[in-house]
Amino acid sequence: MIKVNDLSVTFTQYEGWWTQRRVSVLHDVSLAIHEREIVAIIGASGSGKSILAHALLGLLPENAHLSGDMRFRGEVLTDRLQRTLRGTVIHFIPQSVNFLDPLQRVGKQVQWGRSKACAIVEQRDLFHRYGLSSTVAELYPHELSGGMRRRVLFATAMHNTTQCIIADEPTPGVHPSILKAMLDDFMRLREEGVSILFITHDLMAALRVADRVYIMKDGRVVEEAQPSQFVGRGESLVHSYTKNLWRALPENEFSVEEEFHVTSE
Amino acid sequence: MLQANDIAWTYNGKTWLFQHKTVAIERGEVVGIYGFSGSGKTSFGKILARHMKPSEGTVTLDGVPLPMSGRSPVQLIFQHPEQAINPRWKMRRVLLESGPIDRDIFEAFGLQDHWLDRYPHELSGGELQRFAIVRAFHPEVSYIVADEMTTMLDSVTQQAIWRAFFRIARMRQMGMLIISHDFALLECLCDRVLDFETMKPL
Repeated sequence: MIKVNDLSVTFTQYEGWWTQRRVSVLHDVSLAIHEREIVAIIGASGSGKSILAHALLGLLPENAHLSGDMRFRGEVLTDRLQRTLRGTVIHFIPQSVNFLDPLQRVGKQVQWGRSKACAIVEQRDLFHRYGLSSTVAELYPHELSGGMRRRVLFATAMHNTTQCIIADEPTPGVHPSILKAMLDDFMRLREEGVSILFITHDLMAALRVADRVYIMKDGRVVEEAQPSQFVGRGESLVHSYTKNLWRALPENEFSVEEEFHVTSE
Repeated sequence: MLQANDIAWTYNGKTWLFQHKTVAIERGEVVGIYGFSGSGKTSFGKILARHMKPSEGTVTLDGVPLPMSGRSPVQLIFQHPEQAINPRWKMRRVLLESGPIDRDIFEAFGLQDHWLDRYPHELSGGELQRFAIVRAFHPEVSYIVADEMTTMLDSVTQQAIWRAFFRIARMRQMGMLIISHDFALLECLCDRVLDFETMKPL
């Protein structure tokens, strides 16, 4: 469904008035999301996961330079194609809860982009499914807790026209029972034929639903793994960073070999 | 000892977000709070750290109410550092605002000197959160409330941050209240974990 080949992204920044500097944030990233598949991208903050999502959707700022190849069902993802797909075929769950409109009641925001006839019914169903009471619909984003805002953001992306969801960190700070509802929805959507790119730092959540997992570090894909490889002490994983991610989980050893240290630069 | 006595909170004076929350934390003790999102855990943390006044009840430190001005001996660390740090200040100013910082602590969290000349948006979430933690470790601070402090971070960064955090906090005999949805994490870190609903051990 989506195929990315050797994607690199650099940003041009100004240092002072006249000097420009180029900062490289993605290096030769190649990956694929097949039809009816949940693909997880795991990595630390700053590893370039969100940049990748924004590149696919055409949401990068103007000072970004892309090279490489991105395709949607074989067609090159041009600006124009991205605009047609966004919000109709591909839905996006942004990372920051600041993406909600602060001046609109959250119920309204979930109704946006739906047909008039069923918008209210769909919004009510979604709120019910994610444990948001009907009074919440009348509130503004600042009146909600962090976990509640996450659930609203998640609800905004659930449409019946969706063929692909790009979810950028949709789950942090939500309660385990809500997390389960979200992951169950991902699996239900996959059954219905939707492909999902699940970007997260929550390895445990990813392993519960993903068909394949890519590990990102410092703008590169360092490993592609099957969820079944994450067992024991991670012996069947290849990259040392992937092993560390696995071992550092509180559910496992809660240990890593690395510590913070001051480097001299 | 940090004590919250029969704390209650309401936004509008009519409906209670929570009532009758009592907890006592000794110096050197690590207490976890586990509960549903929207149940008021963050508001409870804010009340303990004097960011808000409770609608009912009192917060006392060694039997004395928390001072209402000056540096609070109870410091709160949030989930989103980008919302807790002035976006227009360079990191040097952010740190200096909280007073002199021990070099030991600066180094324990691996802060780099050249980051001090950067703006918050030029650092990653994990790097920024380390600044938010370091500035909370003023010598006068004896308690820390950590509200979903590492929820936004990957497991490797999370583990490294908690390791450094505990090293400093143990050295100074600090008390800690850790608020999280991650029960496995709370079990790893805490002496006891309370259910926010009942305030009973889980």
